[in-house]
Amino acid sequence: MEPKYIRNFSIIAHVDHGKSTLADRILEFTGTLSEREKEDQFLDQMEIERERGITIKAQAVRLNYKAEDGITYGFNLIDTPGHVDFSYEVSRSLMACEGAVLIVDASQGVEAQTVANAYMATDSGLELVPVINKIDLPAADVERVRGEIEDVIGISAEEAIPASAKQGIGTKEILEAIVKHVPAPADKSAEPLKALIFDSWFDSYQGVVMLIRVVEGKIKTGEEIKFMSTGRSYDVRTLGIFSPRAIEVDELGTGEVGFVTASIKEINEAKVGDTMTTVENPTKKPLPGFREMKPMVFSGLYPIDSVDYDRLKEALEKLALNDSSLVYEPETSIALGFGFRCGFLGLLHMEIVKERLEREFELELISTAPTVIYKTTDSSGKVSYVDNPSDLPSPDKMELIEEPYVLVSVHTPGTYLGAIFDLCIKKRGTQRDIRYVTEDRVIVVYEIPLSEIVYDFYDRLKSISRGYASMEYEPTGYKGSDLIRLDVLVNGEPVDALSIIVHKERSYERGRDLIQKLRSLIPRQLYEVIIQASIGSRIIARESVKAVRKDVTAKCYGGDITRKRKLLEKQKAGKKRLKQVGNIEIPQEAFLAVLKTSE
Amino acid sequence: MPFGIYIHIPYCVTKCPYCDFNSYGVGSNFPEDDYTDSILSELELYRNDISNVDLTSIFFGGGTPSLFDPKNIEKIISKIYDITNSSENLEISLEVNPKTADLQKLRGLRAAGINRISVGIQSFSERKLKFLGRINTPEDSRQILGDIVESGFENYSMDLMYGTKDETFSEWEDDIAEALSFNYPHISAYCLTVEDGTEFGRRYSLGKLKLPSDDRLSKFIAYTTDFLQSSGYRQYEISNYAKEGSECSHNMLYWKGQSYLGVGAGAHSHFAITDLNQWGERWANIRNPAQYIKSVQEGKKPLDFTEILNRDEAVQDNVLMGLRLNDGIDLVDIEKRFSITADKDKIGRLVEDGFLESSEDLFRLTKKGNLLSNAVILRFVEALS
Repeated sequence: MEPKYIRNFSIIAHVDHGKSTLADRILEFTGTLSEREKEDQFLDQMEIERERGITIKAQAVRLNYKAEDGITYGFNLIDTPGHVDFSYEVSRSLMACEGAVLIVDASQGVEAQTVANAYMATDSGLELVPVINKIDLPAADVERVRGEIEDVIGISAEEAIPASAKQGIGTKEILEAIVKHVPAPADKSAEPLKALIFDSWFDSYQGVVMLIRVVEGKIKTGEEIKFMSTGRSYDVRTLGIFSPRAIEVDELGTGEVGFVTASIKEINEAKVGDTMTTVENPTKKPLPGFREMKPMVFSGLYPIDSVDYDRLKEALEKLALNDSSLVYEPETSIALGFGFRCGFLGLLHMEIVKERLEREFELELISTAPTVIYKTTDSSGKVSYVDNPSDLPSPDKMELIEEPYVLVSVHTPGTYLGAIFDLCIKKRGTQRDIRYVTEDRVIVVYEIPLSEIVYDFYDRLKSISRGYASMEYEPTGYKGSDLIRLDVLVNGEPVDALSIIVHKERSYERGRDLIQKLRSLIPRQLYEVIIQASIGSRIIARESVKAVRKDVTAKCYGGDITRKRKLLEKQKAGKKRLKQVGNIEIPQEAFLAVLKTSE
Repeated sequence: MPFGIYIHIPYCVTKCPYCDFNSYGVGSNFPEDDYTDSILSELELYRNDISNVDLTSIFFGGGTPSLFDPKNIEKIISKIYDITNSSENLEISLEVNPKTADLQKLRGLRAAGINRISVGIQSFSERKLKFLGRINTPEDSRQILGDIVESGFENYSMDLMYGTKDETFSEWEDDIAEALSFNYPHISAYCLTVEDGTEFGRRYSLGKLKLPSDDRLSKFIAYTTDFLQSSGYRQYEISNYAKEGSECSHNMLYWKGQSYLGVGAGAHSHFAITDLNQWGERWANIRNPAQYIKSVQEGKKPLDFTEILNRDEAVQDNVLMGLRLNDGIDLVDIEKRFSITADKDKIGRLVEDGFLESSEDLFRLTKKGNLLSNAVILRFVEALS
């Protein structure tokens, strides 16, 4: 298809403003999805995504739309994930588009997430097509919302389309606006192939499937291609488009979006953001912005019941097939036994993986507090990397300890600047830049230790800005810090899985806080539980959970033992969620208590 | 092997708000004759199963069996004698509510063959009795305790209850002191427990019922055991105290995992070994009295459910009930009977930490273990599975 007839766009919206419903309407209107095939919210594939209301994997659907000018256009609707852990993937998906449909709820108006998403799209150079959705609701106020779009987002809303995705009102107008306002891809058909990989996953029959956007030139089946970041080459086995079912094609030209398979066995070989070109006639320069996706946050995952170790291993193998950001290797904890140290992009990624392991593989797991990778240097100059606090050498064996820093860019309305400064300072940040994009739209850039970001920075940022601020971050490297290990002792025995690395200045506060949290999380049991925080051999905080004094069934009447047995079963079930450490039972949540410490 | 028969009489004048047994508050309106006939018919349905057992006890429980006419009680006892060819040397207990029996009725019961009375006193405090929704007054309690002795019974027991709302320690001390003054050889002392499905359970879940904390109750329990022990009563089960030789042999069947047939609405049965299953089976009758009667009248066994036990369940039941007894359980015997090996480290740990004590192969709860028996039993069960 000639580039001038192609339109590549995504839909961006605040949660529940109707993104998935509109996507469904567009699929129906263009005949891409027949009534029979219709499944609500086709674009969100996994159950878990549906429940969380977020889309984790990007998807691209090809639609043919015969416009009022009589021409049939090829649309590519590209869906994007919506969380900071996946902000890189979002940026790559947006890079595959020329425009975005911006949905705003006609009664709720412009919400924080709308603004954050709109910023991200305009930063990526996308043309926005504003849509005011849910006009069928009694509380709809199209004119007010039009005003909000102009004031808050700062784009013209004169041509914003009133619509009701639920009732199919405005769908045609939206499609026409896409034709009219979203630019066609630049025609660079004569150039050598330059294609952006914006998503990839593993298929057990095809190997790795990549979603690509051809930016220049074209790609054909049988051709030998190579990835510019690795230099590795492969033969293209199949090319195709999703419409929404997979349809094979022989060729994808400039501006087109589709999938490629090339008998690639490892998901890590097809990196999101990488540039694909041909071996025979390679392009000179890769597309900008490629970043190697490395796990930033590490946590131990342990089966509560040690017999589940092999099942956990198999489950991780399966998940990693499809998730290049998930890494894992076996580790042993004195307290928790055999498990795996796993690396994630961020906390949400970690939660999603854990939830999938528990739900899809029916595993009962304990995850330890997330940590970043620390870098230590001993007196002989030998450098080690530590991704588990309990592996941190004692202070006398370290010349230097460094931690990873990131450059955090926060986009925010000016109103919240003060609170954001406070937060960044609390998190040991140093301001690097501040830019006023418009009168009321600011980008502040702070350099902050990654460890401070992974815990609750994002949630706090959202809460102090009422959701209006958005953020992204990129690693800047390691810097020396005054860090020490804080250990937790339960009845005098150190529990390695509860150790954390903290900044020295805050160690007392963090220790006290953590111990108090643990006290509230560990239930009373047969034995008194003494919980202590220590730094080296020094105890800095102590709490105790008194032993249970009475746990007895008074009466077993008339030979009815069933009731008594039910009680025992209930106790047994309760115990299942506890990890036995020595003679003390520690609940799952306690190992994540560090995440809950208030500051 | 000893064998017991339990007869359940589900009717009460009013239902107590803490009671989760299969009982119904019906005033004076209950089908006594039909129900008695149903008991007789049900016994007949089990004739083949029990005609050769070594019957050692009969227990009339409820509900309020003292609501029934002694003539009907006699019919039932005769029927049992008829089917089982038993000797006269049985323990035959009947539960009495103080408000529903007088000297005459007690004499009648004695004549009917009852030789042990268990009377539900609960308290001598008007405040506590009211809170517990009992129909008896402190005066009724005192009266019946004397009448039981006067009517010629030689074996009797009373139930007491503590842990009521706002109960003070001295209130409970007074209750025990007065109870001891009657010189009964057997006392059951129960800590009030809130059960789901009861009136108290409902109020408790709504936050409208506040009971003493477990920490506080642990003091009541410790005191009860100490004081009764010093007065010559041995705690032979978690809530049961008796002078030497006055233990309730029927209840011992339950705790020792032996066999018994339960007859009447909602009654539970246990046959330790059956032809079909070496680990035994349990069953329970239909709970609703009218449906129970109907089923028996149609000549059907009035079953609610039956469970064939597997080895794990049988082991668990044995520990669950056996550890309640002061005699404890014989670990080697259990290992042999069920061909299992106990995790001696786990059990040793419980001994080391003072929850269990052992002499040779016998393991029993210590005083501390008694207070925490649910948790200790759970660990013991785990050590055996």
